[in-house]
Amino acid sequence: MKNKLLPLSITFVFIIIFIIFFKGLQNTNIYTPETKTIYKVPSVSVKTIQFK
Amino acid sequence: MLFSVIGNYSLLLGLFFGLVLLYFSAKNFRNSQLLDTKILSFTFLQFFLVVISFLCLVSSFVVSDFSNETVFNHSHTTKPFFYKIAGTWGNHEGSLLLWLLVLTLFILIFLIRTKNQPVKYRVLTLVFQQIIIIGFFIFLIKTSNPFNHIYPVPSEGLGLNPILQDPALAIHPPILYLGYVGSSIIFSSVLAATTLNIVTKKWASHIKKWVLISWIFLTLGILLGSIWAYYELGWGGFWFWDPVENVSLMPWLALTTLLHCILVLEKKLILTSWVIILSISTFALSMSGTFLVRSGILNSVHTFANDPERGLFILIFLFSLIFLSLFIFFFFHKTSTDNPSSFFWLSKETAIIINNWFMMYFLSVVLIGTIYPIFLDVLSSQKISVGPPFYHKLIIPFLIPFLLIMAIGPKLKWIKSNLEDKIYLITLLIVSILISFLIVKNFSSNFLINTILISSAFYLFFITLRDFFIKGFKNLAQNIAHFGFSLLILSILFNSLFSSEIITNLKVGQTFENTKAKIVFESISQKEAKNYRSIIGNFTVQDSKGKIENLSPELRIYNQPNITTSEADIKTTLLSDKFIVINIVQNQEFFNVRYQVKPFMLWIWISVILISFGGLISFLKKGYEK
Amino acid sequence: MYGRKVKLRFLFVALILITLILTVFLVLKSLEENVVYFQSPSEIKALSELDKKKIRVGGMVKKNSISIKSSEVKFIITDFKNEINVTYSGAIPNLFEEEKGVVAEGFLKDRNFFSATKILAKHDENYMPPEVKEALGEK
Repeated sequence: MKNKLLPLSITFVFIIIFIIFFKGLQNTNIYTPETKTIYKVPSVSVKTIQFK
Repeated sequence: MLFSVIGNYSLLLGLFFGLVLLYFSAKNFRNSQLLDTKILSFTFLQFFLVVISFLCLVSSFVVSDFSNETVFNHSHTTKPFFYKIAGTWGNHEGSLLLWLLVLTLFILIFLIRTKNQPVKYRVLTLVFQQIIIIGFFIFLIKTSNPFNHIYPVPSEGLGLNPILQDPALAIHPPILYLGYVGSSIIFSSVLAATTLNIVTKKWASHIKKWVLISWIFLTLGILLGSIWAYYELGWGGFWFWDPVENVSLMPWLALTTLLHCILVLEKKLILTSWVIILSISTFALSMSGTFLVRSGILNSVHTFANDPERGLFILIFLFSLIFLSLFIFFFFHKTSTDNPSSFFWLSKETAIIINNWFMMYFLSVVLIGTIYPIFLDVLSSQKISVGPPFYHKLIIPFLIPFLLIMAIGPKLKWIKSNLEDKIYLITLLIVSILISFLIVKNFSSNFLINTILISSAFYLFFITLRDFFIKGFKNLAQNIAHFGFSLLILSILFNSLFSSEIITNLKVGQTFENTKAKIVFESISQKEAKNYRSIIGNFTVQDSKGKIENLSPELRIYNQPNITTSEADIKTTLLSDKFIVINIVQNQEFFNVRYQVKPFMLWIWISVILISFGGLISFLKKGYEK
Repeated sequence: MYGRKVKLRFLFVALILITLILTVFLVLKSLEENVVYFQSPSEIKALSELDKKKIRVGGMVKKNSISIKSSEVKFIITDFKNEINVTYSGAIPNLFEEEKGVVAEGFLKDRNFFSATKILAKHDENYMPPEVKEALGEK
């Protein structure tokens, strides 16, 4: 390609956009809600069997 | 438990076959007399594996297998059966599985339906699609696996958000994804066609069906989202310029533009570079949308749970695809040296090129409005939000010339035209203006722009209507779609001009009265349902003509998760909707009551259905008209 | 002279440039007018000049501060360092509750009074708008 200006400048623009989005991901103010996890664990009775 | 194991291994196998397909494609590409039958078989196998995985997830939801982390987080034993199934794709991991389902399905159909196309083209399209597919497999397996185990196994789940328990929202993702994700095929095939330098009239004809399928489903998908927002969110609106909405609108705008350009490219070898750019952009916008709403970078009223790690993956994946496309475009695309010898200003091509300008302008406005807050936050730590006035101010004035050109453009012939029926065109214009004037004259605000806007919409309305009666089935698809669009603009305009609302705080037994309506808060009743308790407000509303309506909005208190939602009561007629919603403030006796009269809501939905119906007609047509 | 093809191409490029410049200008101007800034109660107290444009205020709804009449609702938004009184006559979202996060959009009457035209809520009782979270100094 003779004229490399256009592809280079467009690539440059996209690199800048990528960097901005990348930075944007760093401080995303995500608030993790306190999930009320209700674990109902089945109760199991265990007998130890000793083998002689 | 077994479902999780099968589901998980199916995904791993699917990924494996993706790599296998790349290998065989490379082999077949060099030696390309016939498509290697192994390729077709493996493509089918990959799709089949994704189907199995998907069905495993559905089954896990249906049987409430809480050893599966996704099911635990998003379901509950008391969820109605239908919503257990819909819950499969109503979460981040499941929706990605839906992405894979559509990606693998479409490439399979593509291979089957392109038996008459050059082998190199088919194989290369498969290669690009597999790059996307493999990327998604890795994304899914590594960061968003729907088959994670949790132990000990809980006996109850955390519940699906009740807002999502709605029929429209249940089918909204599958329909939307068929459109959204369907544009992946257009992306892959345009990259293949560019590499092989076969972006020609023939190629345009071939790809048109795919563009139409994607477009029809995307249109309907957006419609479903709006319908859900209207019925479920309780604000009485159907479009809020929320980032999640904008993110589906942008690919739609690009896809619609692409559709029109394909129509040109079918007839004349021009705009090839532009078609390539649009094809790439549509899918890139779809993927960007996915990135924006799932990564936590944007704040919106209805986003998925956010996770920056996933966001990073999508960001890198997306930009890799973009840079790949840029490379292919600049390296392989040769702008055609033989320019068409004739170019006349008054022609259909010009009209479509002008349409492109407007569409790209609208797209830019939505894109900037959506992304600007992110840029500003990163560059200057200011937190802002871009509201509806921004979009309205920038878009509405330009709708006027847009509608007018939409009316006249299709009447122009290809290459060169002189305008026929000049008398009819001018007469209808005058009629439109008169009607608009009569309608708008009682409103003092924005009188001029409303009149001109409604006139333009009416103009398109009458022109397309007349064309239907005079020319019958010629250009039927285009006629219906454009007519639908005029109806959409008219419905939205009348809806916004003639809507009225009353907001007041009432206790049980109280009445609100003004010149427009009398609202009586008669009583409260309670109801118990499977997974919620409801408080129903019974109202009688009397309008200015004396007509009385009974409306019963509900407040639903769900048990898992502990959420209260308001269900509006909406009485729909052909002419207007009566919409009432109540809200209660904790520990207060008052109910906040919002009563709205919204004209022509039904016509808004009908017009969008008409628009996609136009697309369907075009899809079903055999060949194209001369 | 230049051939017809070259003239056409030149015209085409010129049109694109003009459209681009016009678009950028319109968009920037509109952004300026339509962007809504967010302030916390403390930021409002610290303002040297009152913002006449529409802004958003966010924080927590102060306990026991909600009072409802048929035509309006009054409450206080606090960031635990400063407060502001809000009056509002619009639709109330059902997640509006004392001791929960809230974002109100409207106009400042003065440093102590805010006239809200809209109250925003997300459909999740655990949601706190990020701006609010930052204002409250949580993490």
